[in-house]
Amino acid sequence: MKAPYHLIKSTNGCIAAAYKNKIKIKNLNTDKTIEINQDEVKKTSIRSINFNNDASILAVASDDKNLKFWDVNTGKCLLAKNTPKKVNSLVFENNGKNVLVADGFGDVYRYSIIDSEENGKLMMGHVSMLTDILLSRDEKYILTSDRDEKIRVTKYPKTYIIKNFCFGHKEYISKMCFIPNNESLLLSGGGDDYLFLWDYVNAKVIQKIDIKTLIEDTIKNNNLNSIETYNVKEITSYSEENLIAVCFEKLPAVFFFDIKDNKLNIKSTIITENLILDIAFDNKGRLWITNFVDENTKDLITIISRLSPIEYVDKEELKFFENTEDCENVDISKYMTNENLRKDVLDAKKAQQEEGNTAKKQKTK
Amino acid sequence: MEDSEQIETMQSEEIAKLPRKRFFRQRAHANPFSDHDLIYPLKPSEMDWSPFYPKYFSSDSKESTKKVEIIDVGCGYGGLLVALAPLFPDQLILGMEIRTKVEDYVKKRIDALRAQNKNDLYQNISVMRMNAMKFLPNFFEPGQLSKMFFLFPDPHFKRKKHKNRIISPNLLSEYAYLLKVGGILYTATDVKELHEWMVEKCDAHPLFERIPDEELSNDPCIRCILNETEEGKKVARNKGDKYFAVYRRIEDPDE
Repeated sequence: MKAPYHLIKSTNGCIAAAYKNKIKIKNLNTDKTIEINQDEVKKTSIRSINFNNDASILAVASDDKNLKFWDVNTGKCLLAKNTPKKVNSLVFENNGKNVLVADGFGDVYRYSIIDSEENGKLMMGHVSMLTDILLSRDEKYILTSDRDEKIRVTKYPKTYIIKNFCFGHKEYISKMCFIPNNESLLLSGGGDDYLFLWDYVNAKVIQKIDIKTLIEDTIKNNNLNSIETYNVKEITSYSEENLIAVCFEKLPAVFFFDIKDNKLNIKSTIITENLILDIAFDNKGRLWITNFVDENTKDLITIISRLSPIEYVDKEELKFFENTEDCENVDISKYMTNENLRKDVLDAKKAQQEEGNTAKKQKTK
Repeated sequence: MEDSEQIETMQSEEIAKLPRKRFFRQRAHANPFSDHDLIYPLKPSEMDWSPFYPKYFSSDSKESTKKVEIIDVGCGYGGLLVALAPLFPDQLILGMEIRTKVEDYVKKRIDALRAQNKNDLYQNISVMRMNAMKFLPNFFEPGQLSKMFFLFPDPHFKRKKHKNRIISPNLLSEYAYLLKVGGILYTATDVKELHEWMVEKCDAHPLFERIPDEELSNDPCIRCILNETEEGKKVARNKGDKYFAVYRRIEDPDE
């Protein structure tokens, strides 16, 4: 069995796909390919990747709390830093000089990619695990989402001023995405029955998109295995066609929305062969889908080039991504972790732990 | 009918007795990161305050002309709340406490005080079990608060636990968001190291400005802090030192 790509990102014609501790990068404009090995010794898994705006640098955060900046042209590591906690999401400033990282302890640090001495400046923080971070294109605001149903809008670079909180989600939030061609709007999703469309500067809900019905209908119409909870895996956009794609944990389907008059409308739903790990639009508006693997899986990535009628890109384009490393067993729970952020899941775990503790205590008595 | 009336009178007699603190002791630490099965509103406009301040709400409405303006974060056994009640009779004051037993004590104490004082005294104070480090913005609109008290907080001595301190650079931004411009943040502690840390963090925050100690002599809250809080009394009994630092919420200097 091959190791699956658990992350995929695309910027400015460059595609980066991560498996285990390694990343494959392809420049679609020049067909140049490069492979990066984040950590040869410990082989800890990659947690988060992101390009700078022109896709010349890739920032990579891994489980061992290493944050590395890679030159995409040469494949060389430009700089390595240590983060105090594990990074869940990261984003570059427009000028590419700094990167903002959001960690599991709720803090946002800023790292310079030029100054090797500097080791992170605390910018702001929640008392809750951070799940995603975005910087508005005009760089006036940082948006951070957390496990406790909150999206915080903070001024940038004066991060001591909180602009507001977007309240509405009833479960954790896992992903946020700006609406293409209208950056005053933000789409967010997580463990809820709804996606929320926000006017985030004014903390106003513009639209609630019922995904429960959408998913239930999709499962029924396509005879898919039912899932107990809905957990957003990724939200991504393609600006040329005002298109948004959303996928969920343990659901082999991608939902496409288009945006008209500041509202999202479902455009089409595509069923995939395997469970989805991550999705990304490339610069031509083709959607790259990385999937989970089992004994029967042939492909690690599929590319959808057209929605109706649906068309797939031929294998030649994917040749570079065809092989990863062999691995014996792929544990699905390692790849579907958002579900664990649910309050009920955590409560159950806590209860189990407490039971264990009392059992231990009784034994020692 | 008679039975239920009897029960009611029995209950009101019970309520009128002040609870005894020794039955409500709980260790003074809680992990602010854990969930604690707390109940909190989705957003401030959905919060129903009527059970907390029944006299300020008509029986059929969740609307009140008054909003909570003063909060005591980590109110402990409620000494400050009780002292503040007559000082600010026109303002709603809320104590927040994360320890169940302690919150229960304060609730019973306020119930008893309300029953003993028929003249609406103590109707303006209430208590809630809450993790203030996580959920304050769920309860209060930006700029709603005029005073916040952080008295004798858990010192969290270990360096690794400093993020759990109730005064921190990150949380100060949240307090600045909730305090109106001109609002006041009070800190007090008997731990010199913590005092110095809180002063350092507040001094460094662009939205807070220290009020010089000599200007505080007219502030009745200071006397309450030093003499009416349980921790304050304990420190006095042990002849220990008490440090306090008070800050004013100011506008962003650049805007």
